[in-house]
Amino acid sequence: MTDTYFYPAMGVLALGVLWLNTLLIAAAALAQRRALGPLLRSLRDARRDGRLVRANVQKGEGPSGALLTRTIEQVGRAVTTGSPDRILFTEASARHELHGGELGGGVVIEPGEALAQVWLDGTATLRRALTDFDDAFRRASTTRGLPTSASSSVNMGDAIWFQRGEILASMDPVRTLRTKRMGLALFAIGAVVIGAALTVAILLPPIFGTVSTAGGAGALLFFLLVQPAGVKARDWARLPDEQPRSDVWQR
Amino acid sequence: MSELSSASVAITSSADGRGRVRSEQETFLLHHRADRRQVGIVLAYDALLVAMVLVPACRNPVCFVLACYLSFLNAVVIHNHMHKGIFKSRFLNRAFRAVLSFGSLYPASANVASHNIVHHHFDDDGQPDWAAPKNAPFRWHLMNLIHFPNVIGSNTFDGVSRWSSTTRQKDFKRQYTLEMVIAFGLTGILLAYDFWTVLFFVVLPQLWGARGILRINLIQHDGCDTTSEWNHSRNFVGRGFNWVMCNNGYHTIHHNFAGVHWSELAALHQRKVVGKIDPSLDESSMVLYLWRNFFARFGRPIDRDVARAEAAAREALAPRQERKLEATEACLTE
Repeated sequence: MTDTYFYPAMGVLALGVLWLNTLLIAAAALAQRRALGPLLRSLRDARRDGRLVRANVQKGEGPSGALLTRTIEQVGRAVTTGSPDRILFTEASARHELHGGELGGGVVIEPGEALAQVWLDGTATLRRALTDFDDAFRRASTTRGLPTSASSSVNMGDAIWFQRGEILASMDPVRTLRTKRMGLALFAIGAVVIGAALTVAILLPPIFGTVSTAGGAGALLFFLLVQPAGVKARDWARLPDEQPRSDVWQR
Repeated sequence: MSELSSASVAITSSADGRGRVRSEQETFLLHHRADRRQVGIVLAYDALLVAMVLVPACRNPVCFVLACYLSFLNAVVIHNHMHKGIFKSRFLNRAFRAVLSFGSLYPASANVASHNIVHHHFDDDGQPDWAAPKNAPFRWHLMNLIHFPNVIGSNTFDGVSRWSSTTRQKDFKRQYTLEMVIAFGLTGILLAYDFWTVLFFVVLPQLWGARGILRINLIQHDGCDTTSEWNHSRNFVGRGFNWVMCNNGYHTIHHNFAGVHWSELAALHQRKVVGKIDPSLDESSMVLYLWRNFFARFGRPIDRDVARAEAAAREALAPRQERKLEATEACLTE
């Protein structure tokens, strides 16, 4: 066995590994994009028919005039890297309570109405029952961590998108889904294009020469980075109610 | 678990001159003489990598395939070593982690969070295990087997990064960083020395082993009921397979009694697991299992209610959350 034959064969194997995995990562993104399609179509139809409306909350039957409250069960853990003292809260589970109320245009929402989707802004301020940071930090510094809960609400005056029985969202759901589908498509195309460009560089004669080697180094780096990029794209494109929320409480 | 461990020590131990209880399994450096097999695997693997880099005659298909196989076993040793340090010396255990990290191109200490704490209890503070089989999205199941490491490898790096920001294990970050520097730094230096040779004969085997051990998560839990206490895992019980794999085929007993030395798992599997699990979760051959489920069929196997077997023969285990707390405490004191 000489390098004349074996190295090119190993090169083909390495390129095969690169391409198989790149295509699978791109295919996973496209499959996720496809799965969002039916919901986007149904919401677009509902908006055209006037079933999906954008309106301001006129009245809420919940505490402090809230129309809906989202409660997140969390576990807090004391951050051990440097100062100042912080507690990292991660989501264990979440639930919604629809208190009922009224939207502009005379739309009445009954308490406890069924909704298939509730999409709230992930950056909305959370209200936490805890007030004593020192006590919370001490409990968050234990092995068990600090189980607690936090909540956010849709209140009087807030703009929402609403389709009875289907969705209540604090962001435009059609635009949100379009953006996610577009992002997934761009990611899939980008991954394949970068893979192709690096393959061309690798195959530029003389193979295993300087340009080819630079292409190989780029391809290895790309192989290591496209995997976390694929996971980031997947997490980013999840429906808002499927994205666990985390936040930090700083002294 | 303590009942099991103390029983096995009591049978084989005696007091030395200083009154310290010394197990007959101990050697000068090792807690357990069976671990010579693990040290041998790692030495053989690293020697083969060095030979392929330095000796052109060693760059051949046989050595390459052998290196890939030994790389997978290197990852198996990482798994065992991170559960129970092989050496008596803390320094040697830490140094061995660094050597293992280079062999698999990832920091061995990542296993503390990703495997010992999260995976063993199928729980990340209420969120799912980072290596849960549901991370496999395709209808063609073979594609899931290939793609699985692309997802859970990244889940693991993200998860460990978050976990390390809150861990109370004092020197975790230093050790993790050291292993990262050695794994990627040494590989990078070798790549700069001879890029193509090292890519083909070092990096490809490293990746094969690291991605292979991630695939095991799918193979050993797909179609199982991870909410059950005994039917959460698939076992591969072939004797030859388990000799080479250091008993990693006995997965149910390992999940429930993670502190037990791997050499004791075969007997414990017979004693404590058989009878409590659905018979389909005891596979005689991994090769046949892979063939039946990933190659000879297109779709994903239909899930069965494997936990039914457990209801008939329930044995009390400490609640899973308590076991997870014990595992977390254990990592603080190692």
